[in-house]
Amino acid sequence: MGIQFKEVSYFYRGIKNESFEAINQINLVIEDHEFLAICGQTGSGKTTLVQHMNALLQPSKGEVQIYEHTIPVKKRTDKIGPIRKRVGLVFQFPEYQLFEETILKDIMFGPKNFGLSDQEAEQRAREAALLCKIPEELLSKSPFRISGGQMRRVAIAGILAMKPDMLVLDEPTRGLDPKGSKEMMALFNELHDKHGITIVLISHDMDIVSRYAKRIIVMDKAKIAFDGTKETLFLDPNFESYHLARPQAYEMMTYLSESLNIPFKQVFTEEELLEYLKEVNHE
Amino acid sequence: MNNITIGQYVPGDSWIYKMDPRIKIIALVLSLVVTFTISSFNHMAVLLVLTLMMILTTGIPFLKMIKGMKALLFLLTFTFVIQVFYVQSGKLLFETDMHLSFSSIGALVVLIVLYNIAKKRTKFKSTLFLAFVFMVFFLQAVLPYGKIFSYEFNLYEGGLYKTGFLLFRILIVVMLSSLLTFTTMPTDLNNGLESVLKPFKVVRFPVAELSMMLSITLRFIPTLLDETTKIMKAQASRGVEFSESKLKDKISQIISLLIPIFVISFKRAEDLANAMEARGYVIGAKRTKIDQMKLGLVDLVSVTILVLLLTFNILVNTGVIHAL
Amino acid sequence: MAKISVENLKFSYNSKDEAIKELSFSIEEGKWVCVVGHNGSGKSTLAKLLIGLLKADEGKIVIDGLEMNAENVHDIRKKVGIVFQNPDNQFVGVTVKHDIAFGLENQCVKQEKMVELVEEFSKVVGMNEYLNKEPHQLSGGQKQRVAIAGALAMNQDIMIFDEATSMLDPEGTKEITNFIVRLNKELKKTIIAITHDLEFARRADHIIVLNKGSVVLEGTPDDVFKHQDILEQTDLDIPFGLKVYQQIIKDEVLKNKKELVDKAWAYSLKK
Repeated sequence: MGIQFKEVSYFYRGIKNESFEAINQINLVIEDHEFLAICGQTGSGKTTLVQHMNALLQPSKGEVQIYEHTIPVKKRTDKIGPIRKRVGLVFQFPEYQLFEETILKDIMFGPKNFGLSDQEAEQRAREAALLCKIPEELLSKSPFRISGGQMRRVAIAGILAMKPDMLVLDEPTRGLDPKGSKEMMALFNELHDKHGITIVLISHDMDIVSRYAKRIIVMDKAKIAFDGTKETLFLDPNFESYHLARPQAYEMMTYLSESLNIPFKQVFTEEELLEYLKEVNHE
Repeated sequence: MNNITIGQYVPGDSWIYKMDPRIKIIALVLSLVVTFTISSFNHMAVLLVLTLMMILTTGIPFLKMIKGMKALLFLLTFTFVIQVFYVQSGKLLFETDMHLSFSSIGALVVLIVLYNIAKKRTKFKSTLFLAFVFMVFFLQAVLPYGKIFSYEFNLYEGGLYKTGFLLFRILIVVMLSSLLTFTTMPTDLNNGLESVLKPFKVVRFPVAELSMMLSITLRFIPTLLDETTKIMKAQASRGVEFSESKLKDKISQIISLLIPIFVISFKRAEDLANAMEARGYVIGAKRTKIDQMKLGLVDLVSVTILVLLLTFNILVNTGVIHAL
Repeated sequence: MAKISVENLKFSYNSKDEAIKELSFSIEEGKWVCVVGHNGSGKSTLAKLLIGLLKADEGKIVIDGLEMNAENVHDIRKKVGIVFQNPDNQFVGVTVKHDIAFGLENQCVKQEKMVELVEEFSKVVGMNEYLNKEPHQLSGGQKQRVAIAGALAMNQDIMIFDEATSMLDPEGTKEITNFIVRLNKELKKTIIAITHDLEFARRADHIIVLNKGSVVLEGTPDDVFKHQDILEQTDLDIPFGLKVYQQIIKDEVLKNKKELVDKAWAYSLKK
């Protein structure tokens, strides 16, 4: 089922009542079990787009279908709440949303808001904590007495405890050191591969995007400028206008191919580069 | 991102915008004193007209002024009702019997219910309110059936004059104060206040520090608003429904907003203090300011006019001038 | 004489964990030094110690000939500018103009001179069209540029960047990184950049690698990157080109392909 955007536009008003278009006539289908990355410059509409995915924003024009719900709601009796359970949205620097006395309580907050009993919520919270590799000793501690990286994992666990079908993440690795970044992405990969959760990721890091995402969407000036795979993205004739970097392996491959006169092949990770070099040099 | 103007600054370039903020503050204080030292209705009416004429010259749209006064509607109506019942001087203009009877009380109950329903569905809330108040009394006048208690309602000339007096006074005070906030940027206001309050440094009043605190507050209000919105969205994504109104839930909602904001603010305070110290800020030390305040002709003229008005009032009040 | 020298520095936040165990290093005038380490290695503590926001438990800090103590810390701060990590939490002024002027106001610089300096240095960082903008209207990169302008206006020879790009998006990071390079190469400032980005550190004159409060490696970028084993222990990510090069020279087949090895090394040096 997933999410479907049908001709969706979103406007907001400035101080002098002028109209700003954040996203314009978006048509997009996201199926279950996808691993999708959304890229684009700051201001291209990415954040506005994803905020429609859990109905935080409602379209000014057009319609969004989120599983069995339609936004904007047609009948007064349609409640938006249940959507937020199925599509979990994690903002940038999510550690700012922590507030409970203990980490366990904070992770339980989401499930409890959706009507689960204390017992069920605790069960879910413990499962989520395990998934996010939060040590059990930490669960009774205050969420403010741990490191930034751990706080981020607690925030994500708080969303996972709601058992969403889809996880939408806005720059989840921003501000993390390389090790933290790697661990975070490994978690999302596991959630996708092992648990079948649909992952939608906003990221500027093209290394991460090309390593993990099966599908890449590029936003430019409120519209979708590209929707395809990594193999076609970097060869796209308009690539320069997207202002995206190329993966590091890709850049090195380009250099080596030119200076060593070996045939160019698109590689996206360190492993792929080395494998190809070994292949080519195996005469 | 839009230029959120804190307070209600309305850009413009008429004479009032060229005034030194210190003088604006002093002028406001003087005007308020002038207003409160008037005792006759006629003088108050004249002052109101003068004020309105002055506002016209500043180029501020009246609509903005009026909007600000909607908030006072309840207070004004209440004042009117009290004065009209209380003051018994002058000509008797109108009299009628008012009844608290079964029929009128019943009608009042129905009226209250209808009002509450209509309140949510109309845009013209102020007009509705006035109509409601009028009906409260009208119903009491025309429904004597099943009488429990009756009283007389006498409308005297004095009541109208007194109400007018108070009404005009409130209007003048509100308009002048709004004028200050509409035409002065918060930073200028802050600088002006700091300067005007400087004499208090003698009694160890921390004027410069308060001014710095105000400045930092002004600086961070838009940022805090942005962050509050972000946190609301984050918590909404965790199932908090901010429009639900059960009290128990409301408390939990507010806590889920307040605590993160507090945590962010404490961290921010620490970081900011470090940054300020690193950049050489020392509490209590002398500092210069990049903002300049210069007195001009407008300032001189304004103060002179106000001092003259004040003198006139004092002379009238002490009987030196037998005014009209 | 070294511009900055640190000897046997020790500091702990509470008596249990020692944030800085034993630190000694010196920095020559006009050099650009990167202090690298994972989160918790003591990097930020070092920044605060150098600017006198924290007082060392033991050891001494000498900046431009002055040994830091309670009396001269204010004089030292006149010589050292610092740009912190959070662009919002160091922006004091109500507008760009006021923030650049903040340090100058603290020094009681005359009003006319301040206006001049603000105009001049806002131009240097490209923010002269934004003087009346409020901070919430600016991007992270722009706010950091304003912070740089503020330090430049104070004519400080030494500048510390405490993870100044970690909270920025790639555009902002590029902006600020380029500024840091210019500050060193064109304006001859002595720069201490604290970061966990080894790719950035590669362009510096000198790298100091911290791990759990002690210096584990120090030297020019070329020297430092030869010690892959030590770097791996610090959980730092070695620059991509270098990583691939090191894999190539380890591989049985590839290590003998001279051209490949040469080109890979050349790529790893590209800045």
